Amino acid sequence: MGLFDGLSTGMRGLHAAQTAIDVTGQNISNANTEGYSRKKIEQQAAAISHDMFGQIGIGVEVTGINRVRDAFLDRQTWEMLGDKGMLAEMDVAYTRLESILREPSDDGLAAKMNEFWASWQDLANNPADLAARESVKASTSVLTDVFHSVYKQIEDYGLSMNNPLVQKVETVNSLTGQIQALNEKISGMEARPGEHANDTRDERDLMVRKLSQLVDIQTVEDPNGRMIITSGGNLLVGPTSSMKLETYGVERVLADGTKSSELKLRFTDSGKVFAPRSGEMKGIMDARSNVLNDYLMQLNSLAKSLVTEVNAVHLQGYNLNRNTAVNFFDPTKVKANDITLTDSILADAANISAAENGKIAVVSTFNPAGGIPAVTAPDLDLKAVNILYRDLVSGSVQIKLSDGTILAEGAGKDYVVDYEKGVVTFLNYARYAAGDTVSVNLSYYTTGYSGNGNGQNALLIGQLRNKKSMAPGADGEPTQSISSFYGAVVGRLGIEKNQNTSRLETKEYLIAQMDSEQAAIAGVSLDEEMANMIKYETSYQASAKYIQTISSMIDVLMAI
Amino acid sequence: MSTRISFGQISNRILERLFQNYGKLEDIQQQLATGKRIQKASDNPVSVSQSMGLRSEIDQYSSFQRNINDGLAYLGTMDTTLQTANNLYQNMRERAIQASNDSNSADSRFFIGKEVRGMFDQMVALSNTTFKGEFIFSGTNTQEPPYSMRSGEAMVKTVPGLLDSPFGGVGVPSPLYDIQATDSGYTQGYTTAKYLIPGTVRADGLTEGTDFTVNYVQGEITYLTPAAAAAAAAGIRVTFDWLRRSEKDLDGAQNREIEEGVIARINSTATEIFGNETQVNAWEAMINLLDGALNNKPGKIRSAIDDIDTAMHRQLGALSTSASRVLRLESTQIRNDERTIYTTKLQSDVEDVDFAKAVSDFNMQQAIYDASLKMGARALSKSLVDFL
Repeated sequence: MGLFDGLSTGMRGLHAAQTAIDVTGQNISNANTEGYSRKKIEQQAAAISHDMFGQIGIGVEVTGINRVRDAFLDRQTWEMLGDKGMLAEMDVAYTRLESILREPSDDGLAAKMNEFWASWQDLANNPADLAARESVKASTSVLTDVFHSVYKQIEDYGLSMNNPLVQKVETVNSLTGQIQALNEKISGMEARPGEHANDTRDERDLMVRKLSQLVDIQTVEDPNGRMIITSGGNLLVGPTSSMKLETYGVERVLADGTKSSELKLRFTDSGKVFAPRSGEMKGIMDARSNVLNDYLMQLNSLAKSLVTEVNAVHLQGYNLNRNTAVNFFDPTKVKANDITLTDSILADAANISAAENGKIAVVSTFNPAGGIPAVTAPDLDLKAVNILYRDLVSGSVQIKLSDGTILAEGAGKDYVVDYEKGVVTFLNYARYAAGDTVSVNLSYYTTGYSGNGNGQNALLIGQLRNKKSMAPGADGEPTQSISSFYGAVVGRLGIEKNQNTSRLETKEYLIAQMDSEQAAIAGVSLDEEMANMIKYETSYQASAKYIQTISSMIDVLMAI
Repeated sequence: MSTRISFGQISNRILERLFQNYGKLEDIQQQLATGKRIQKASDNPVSVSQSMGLRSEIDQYSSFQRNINDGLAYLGTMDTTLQTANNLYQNMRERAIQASNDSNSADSRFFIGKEVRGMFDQMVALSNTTFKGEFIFSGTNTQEPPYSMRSGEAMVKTVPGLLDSPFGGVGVPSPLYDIQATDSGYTQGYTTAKYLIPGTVRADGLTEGTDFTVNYVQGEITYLTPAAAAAAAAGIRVTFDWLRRSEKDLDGAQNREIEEGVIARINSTATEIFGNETQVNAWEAMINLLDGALNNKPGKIRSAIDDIDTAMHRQLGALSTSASRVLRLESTQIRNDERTIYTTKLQSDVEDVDFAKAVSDFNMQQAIYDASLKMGARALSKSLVDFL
């Protein structure tokens, strides 16, 4: 071992310290870089065999620069991130739903429903008062408007969720493409022995982390350093290529027949349907297809019960125009998005049936004296012997000619009837002649129509407020009133949201824990880097001093 | 092994805690600003369901209160009317007793009769009392007066047409069909006239008492002489005033829901107050009294006094029924008030912020937030670099 060997030992020391300072510099500069893992220099003592002394040291050797990172923690974090992404998207949907329903408040569905019932009570007090009738009409219009608006807002929100889905699919495609490119780069670089593609791996881990928030993934690294990514058994990033996703529209039919269109996912190449198991994409699809649609159906069943229950009572009642069997709500529109008053009530509040049934007597056939009057004669009074029929049951008059032909009632047809006065006006003399015998069938109120001052039916409708008509229990009997059913829906929304939030918070806490653990391993500690810097600086100075010493020793030798 | 703590770790943790603390601060701030503990369903799902139920209940109580107030106003009108009617009966009874005295001459009875006629009209007017434009004694047919004075006209013929009154022969009581009878809204028709007003029956060329007599209550005319009968058979016109009872059902109940599921009736009907046609009714009593007074029949007056007593008793019964209804409504009103207060308090307990607690929470949370900001700022600024 000669003096000149000492020079080379010193050189190695200088070189190692220099490299270490470089790594420290890189770590300090990237202390705030997302996804950066701190790098650590690996060095070992270099030695050669000596024939007299055995192994003899010839200085230090840098064997590599490795990144410090726990790959197992990463994989766990990615899995959690998928759940978190899903729960976070659900949380957004629940929050939005809550703000759409706006309960408890003075202008939500519950408050408007209260006003609706109260207006019936007021009508029961003043059944003949048109103002009270208009007030029922108005409170119902407000209620149906709120139904429509709440339904529309939820529906629109559901449709609007298709846009972020499209964006997220694009992001997934872009990420898988980039990961694939990085895979190539890493496998190329690491093909050279001893070389680690540290920073490229950091970059890839960051991409995978982003991808894991969007969709559930499983990762495997092949011997060449390529990361193979699958999702629920479907290949997303393969050894040589990445699989692109795309969206496609389908029509969805809910359990109650409501139709909606929504986007689903499939692979562009194979056309195979792709259903994520977690991640933001799953969250959006679940919130849209399950959560929102479920609440839409609840609203629909609420509207349906309201229409059915109110109509059932309303049909029994009598209105100011003495008609019965009039619907209050349009019976063909039983959903929250189209519930509405019938045209006849929209046209005239007098058609609201506030009165109860009168006593009806059915009269069998009789022949009015004189038969059909002449065109110029007064209209035919409906009278048999000395009973003059008035207060007839609307629509009950049927007139038959002696040959059995049944005449048609209505303007522009054979005859019209004034049901209050009991008078028939014949219109179509082409079908019959004056003096023809006719037989008449009719029903009339024996005690007369129960009167405009009768509010019994309005009272019955007002009492529906507390009638249990929804949510059948185990015995098939309804367990909830319309109002309490809605209260339960709102309560359930709160509970579901809270469950979701607490699950989300748990995941966020776990992720923060794992991130913190990873940061403890892979994060840059400036204090540590500072200490290293001083350590390597001193080491550099020492190596330089050593070279200087060797050099002066050589000088001494040369001076001999 | 000592734990490595990196820069990123510290800054993340500090930020996370800051957000948490600020979020809590914001929650309390919102509670204080709105005065409500529950802003949305998820704040406390059980409370929200409860609160919605309570709101609905309070709303319902206010409906019941409106129903009761309306009912009380209605009963007030009814009560006043029945009191007035009672006074009228008392006066009528006094006049009747006066007229029944044998010392009275036909003339003085006649003048008492004129006075009784005035009272009769007043009674008809009372029966037509309205509340908010609706007849209160008409049951549910509130658009039509229960009783009305009509000027009737009957055509009598031997072979009657549809609208003509029949002629039954000498000494046979025959009904009078009023062809003028026009119910509200009807253009033509006839009605059997009953409760004719004594002193108003006129038959063409015939004189009441000598040519014919009238059963006022039943509305039947009896021709006494062959000459009168012959005139009637040839066709005569009879005019008369009569009290027409509405053909509608006057027995309908006016109900108000005063508590959940409790329906209270608030009206008394014409039948309950004046009696129906099969009973000894008020109108019959008054017509008999009029008949007795105007036509100088002391016996009729005496029997009419008993009938007036019966009618008065019936009317007093209605008066006390109405008074008991007022009591029932008033006691329910008090109960409803108490329930409203109790439920409102309950709602406030569920929904409203306890201000003292919220303010102290706010202060505490603010202190925590301040502290976390200060400590965060200090911890982040420290590094070995400072000492190199």
